Amino acid sequence: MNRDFNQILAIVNKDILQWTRRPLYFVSSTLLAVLIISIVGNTLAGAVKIPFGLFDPSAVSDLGKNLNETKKFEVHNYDDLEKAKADLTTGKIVALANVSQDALDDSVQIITEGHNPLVDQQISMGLLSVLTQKDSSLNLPIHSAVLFPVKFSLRDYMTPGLAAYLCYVLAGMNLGFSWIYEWMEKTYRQIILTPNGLRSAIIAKTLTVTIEASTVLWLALCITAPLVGFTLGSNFLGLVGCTLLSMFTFTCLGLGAACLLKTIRIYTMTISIAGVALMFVSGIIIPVEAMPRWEQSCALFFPMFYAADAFKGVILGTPANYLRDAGILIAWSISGLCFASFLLHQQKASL
Amino acid sequence: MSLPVHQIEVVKNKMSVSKDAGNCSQSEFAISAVNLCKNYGEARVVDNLNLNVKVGELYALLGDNGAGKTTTISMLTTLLKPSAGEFFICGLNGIKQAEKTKGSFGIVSQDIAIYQELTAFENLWFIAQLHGIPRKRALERIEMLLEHSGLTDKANHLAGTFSGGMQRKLTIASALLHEPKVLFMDEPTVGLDPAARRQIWHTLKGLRNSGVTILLTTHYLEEAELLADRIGIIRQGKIVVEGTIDELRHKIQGIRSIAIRITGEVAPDILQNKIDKLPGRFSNQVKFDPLRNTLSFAQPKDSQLVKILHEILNWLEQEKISFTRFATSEPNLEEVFMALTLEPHDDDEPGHFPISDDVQFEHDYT
Repeated sequence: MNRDFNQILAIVNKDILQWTRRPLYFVSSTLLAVLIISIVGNTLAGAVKIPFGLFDPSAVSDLGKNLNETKKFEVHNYDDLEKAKADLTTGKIVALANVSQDALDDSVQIITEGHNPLVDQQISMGLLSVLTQKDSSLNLPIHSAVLFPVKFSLRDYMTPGLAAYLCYVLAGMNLGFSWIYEWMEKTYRQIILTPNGLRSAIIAKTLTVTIEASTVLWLALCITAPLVGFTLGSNFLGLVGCTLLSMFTFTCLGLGAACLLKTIRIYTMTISIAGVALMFVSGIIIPVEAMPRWEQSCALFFPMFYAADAFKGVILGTPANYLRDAGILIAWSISGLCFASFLLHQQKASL
Repeated sequence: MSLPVHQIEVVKNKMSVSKDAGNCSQSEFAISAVNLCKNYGEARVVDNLNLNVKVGELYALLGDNGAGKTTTISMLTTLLKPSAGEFFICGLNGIKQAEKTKGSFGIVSQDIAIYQELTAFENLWFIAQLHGIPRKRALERIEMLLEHSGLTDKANHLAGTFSGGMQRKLTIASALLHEPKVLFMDEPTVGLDPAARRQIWHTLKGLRNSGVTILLTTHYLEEAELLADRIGIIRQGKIVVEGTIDELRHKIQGIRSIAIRITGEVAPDILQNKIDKLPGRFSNQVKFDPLRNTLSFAQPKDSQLVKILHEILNWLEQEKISFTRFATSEPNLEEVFMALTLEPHDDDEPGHFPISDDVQFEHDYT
């Protein structure tokens, strides 16, 4: 037992030593995480200060004030409806709210250019945000309410999902490179040809990669949060636990994939393609509830959905089923380890 | 004495393997393989291979690429599961007691297996920790092995900065760190320059003298002949010939040749006239390769070598044939195999075997 522990410790020490002597790998993986969180997160969160025209010369509604407050829109007031429509046509504004000036008719007509459904969707989302958050003060005949009023922006909402996705990317790539590199360099045999070496290698590699990849993610989140401006919440212990468990799960699954795919080229290609598919299907970009029904069923199968659910819970405070999430992530981890272990015992020399 | 190995006393050897855990001193054979097979789909790469290597012996497994050497080593080192058969290392069943077996042997593969980002010392220290060697003993072993490998001055240099020969030495040191009783060496000198190869040979001889059992695979006949106590020739996954060095050397000598590269162009008919003037013992023993401008003479037994050389040199002088190079050449494995599996002839007559067409001036005496 003591010898096994020393073996594991030796491999962990060696891996960390190698890691520190490859600073480029550390820097590039941190940079990747920073870029994904900031650029992808910002893009997915949508535009801010969208030029929005408002035709309400008599100030019948207080729509302009409310739209400005969301920071999603930058309101341009018009006294001339035709001029506003002309600006909409030329793209100076992307939407126009035509507030009826008839005291007996309190309707509002929203006009968009109509060429781009994604732009329309962003406008709708922004308007919905105004209508749901500000219902008490909005001088419009729309009455809305939310069951769980949230205090985070769309940008905040994107971060936990991206953190779950980054767990997949960082753990998968780190484990793949670390393990397949040992095979390529033939040093893998030095480890497995010691008594119980294979078992120690599996334990040590999964632990090391979990710690290394988690460190990179935490660093990236800490760098990006103040720069880009999103919340990491206040549940830091929860964030640490959630990161470690998610990383561990994807490390174990990465090990299984590495044993199956065997070469860096095929492994990298497969993990990258699968990662994109998982990101879309696991509710990272679009909430699961807003996806087609068959995709919702798929999402419930994959671990990234549960990792994202847990991250959302600890960062945003949204209701999350932690026990279910942890249980499923652990089940996936065990599956990955068993699969890898089976393959490694079957075909050690060919690796 | 013909040397087919099909009569290897497999059953007897199997019975003599000690049941003691990894105690080579209590076994007659350090390595014993019994009807070992490996199939890849329909292809049988190792075919009922039987092998016994005595304790303290250096056994060379000689074979061409694809003969099954590496697959055999992979099975004997527990890296590859045999399709059939079994094997024993120091009395331990390599299949049923794989984990216990691992501690008793070391392996040096064809590839350099060291961590490029670690120093020589860190590489060895890591291996020592993997094997659970106590700290004090580990430091002693590392110091000794570094010194023996000539790497003491480079102990704190990154292994990635080493030359190929130095990296190979470090790989061998790694394999020896835990003082294995059995060492598997899979073509350890492939890709090394002559000086580095000689250093590896020196190390191997030292290890054999210290009682380590070594199974060496190679496709260099010269290497096997120089180092091994016994040689087995493997073809298509079977050991087809096996014997001691003396037994094999006796046979191989007949198919070695002496090659002389002559200068200038000599018309073939004129050269043939000159060759006809050679003593009768050379009849049918001389070949001329016009492409390489080389004359090849079948190499005689040791006892006649000086006399024959003298005659050849005299003939060259008398016939005014000038030459630039003078070398002995090694037969290739195919020729060795043919020679060793043919029925024996009169030992005093050296010319029953074909002279190699592939004369290489590796040993240039000019």
